[in-house]
Amino acid sequence: MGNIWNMCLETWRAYWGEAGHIFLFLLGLLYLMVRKKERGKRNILVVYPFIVIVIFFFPVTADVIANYCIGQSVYWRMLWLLPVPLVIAYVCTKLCTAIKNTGLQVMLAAVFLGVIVLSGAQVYVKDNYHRADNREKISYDVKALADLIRADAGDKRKKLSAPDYIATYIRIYAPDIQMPYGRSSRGAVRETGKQLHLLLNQEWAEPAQVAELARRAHCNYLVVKGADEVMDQKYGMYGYSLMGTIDQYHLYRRVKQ
Amino acid sequence: MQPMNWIYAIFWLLAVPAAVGMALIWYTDKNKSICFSVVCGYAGLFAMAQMILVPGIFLKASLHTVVYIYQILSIGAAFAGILLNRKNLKKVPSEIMSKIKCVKISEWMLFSIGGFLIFVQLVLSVGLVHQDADDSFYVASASTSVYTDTIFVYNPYTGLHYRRLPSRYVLSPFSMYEAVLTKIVGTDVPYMVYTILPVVLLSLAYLVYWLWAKLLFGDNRKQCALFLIFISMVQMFSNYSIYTSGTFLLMRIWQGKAVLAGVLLPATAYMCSRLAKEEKGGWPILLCLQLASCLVSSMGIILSLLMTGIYTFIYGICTRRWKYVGKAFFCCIPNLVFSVVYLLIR
Repeated sequence: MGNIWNMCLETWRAYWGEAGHIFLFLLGLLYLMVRKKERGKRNILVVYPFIVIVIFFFPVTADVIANYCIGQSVYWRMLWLLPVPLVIAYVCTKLCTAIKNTGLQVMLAAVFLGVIVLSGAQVYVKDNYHRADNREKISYDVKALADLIRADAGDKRKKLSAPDYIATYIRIYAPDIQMPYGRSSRGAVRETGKQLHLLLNQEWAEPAQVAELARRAHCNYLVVKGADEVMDQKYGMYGYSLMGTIDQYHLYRRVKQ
Repeated sequence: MQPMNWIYAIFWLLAVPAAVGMALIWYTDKNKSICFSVVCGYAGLFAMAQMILVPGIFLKASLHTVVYIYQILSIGAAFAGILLNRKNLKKVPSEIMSKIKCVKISEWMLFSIGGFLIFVQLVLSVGLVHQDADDSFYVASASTSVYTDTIFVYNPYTGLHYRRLPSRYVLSPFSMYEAVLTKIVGTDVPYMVYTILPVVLLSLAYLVYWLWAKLLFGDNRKQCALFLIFISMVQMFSNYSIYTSGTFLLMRIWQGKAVLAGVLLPATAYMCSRLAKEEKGGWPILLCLQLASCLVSSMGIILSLLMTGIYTFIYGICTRRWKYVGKAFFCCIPNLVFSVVYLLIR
């Protein structure tokens, strides 16, 4: 039981982070409970969230939901059931319009907006977004590598081994390119694919070993991050000749069959 | 995209949902509006997609077969909606105009601010990119389906045949629905998923909040407009953790779980609350919302069930309205069936 309780608390803390929106939400619930005029909205905006919180923390329901229904790792999704934006927006609107004076209403609305801004964290920050390079919104290097491979292979079969970043996104843009593994080696059915994924995501990998594994995985294309001329020559010796470079990625084509 | 594709996009993503919604809201008592019909239309279309796609996956149907069936059924439902509401449709423009004439300047200003905040979010969803590694499954699944004309036959990570179907996803094939929409509109998957769908789904989320505003404040336009301003600001400043529904709504709305958090759970809560006041005719819409939640995420199967269960406890069991309990239980049957199927196939 103690473990479940800790899991609930940790999930709760992780969900709300350092921000103050939880306090706005709880204050909103308190206001709705106290105000007699809000009796009609209590079922929707107070009783329902209260039951959700009880179910979230009650060890038996938490245990059943986390371990048998949705999984502990995503138990935080239970908190999506809380009508947080609704309660905050409803209470702010009610408080603003409770005063008759328009000037005061505007001032109060500005104050509430300020509180929402200062107690929250903006979604539109540099870490979350960047400008689109192209209409498909695929990063430049992924798209350029896929275009190079497509131009070279045409309708022929294309199978690529690449570092994790490229492996994660390339099939969104180019589903005609097959891979021995996907993001974080997911989808790999053979040990060869998993080993290749490990090697290609290391800072340095022996070209002979990489080329041999890529050959065994039937890859006719290979992308290596941060290779140099010496490495290019080595890959050439082991059957993969350089086709081009996109930023830090070197693209090789298999020449020996 | 060619001009013709834009026409297809407007037809299939706006006109058809609105018309399908008209069929669903035809029997409801009051508060019929275009907004309500669009929201209900999407719930109906999502439900329809779920009913077509899940059997399609197990029967190994091709994508184009699924697209044909979806097109025929949705056009049929849209036609029924227009036919049933043909008398009311004539009144709609004059009703909208008379409502617009009643709006005061101060209310216009508030609506403009709210509209501007939502517009900014829509523009940013088009112009900016958020890279999410989960797309390597979700979006690549749609790309693979369109390329191979199959549904869940090839592994999106590798492009090779699935040895075993992914049990978590076959019962919630939202990415396949995105593939269906891509085929219908005639564009490519990344453009559909990263540019067109965010605009559609974000707008849908705010339509749901608009319905909430009408439910909470009635015809008080000033309060409705203020509510929209506050709610859009709360969403924009909800990035205090990566888990919040606001973060999912604004950063990765093209993923099924984000549609669940941002659109379908608020819509289900709205419908449950609305049904507490007005029971007539709204139950098929709740049923569609339950099916829609099953389509978008395996989590949706249980979360929408839980939400409806709690509302049923409040409005049905506590007040001994056994009809409410019975009808709500009936609406939850799809969730129960999909839960059992999931346990059997996992």
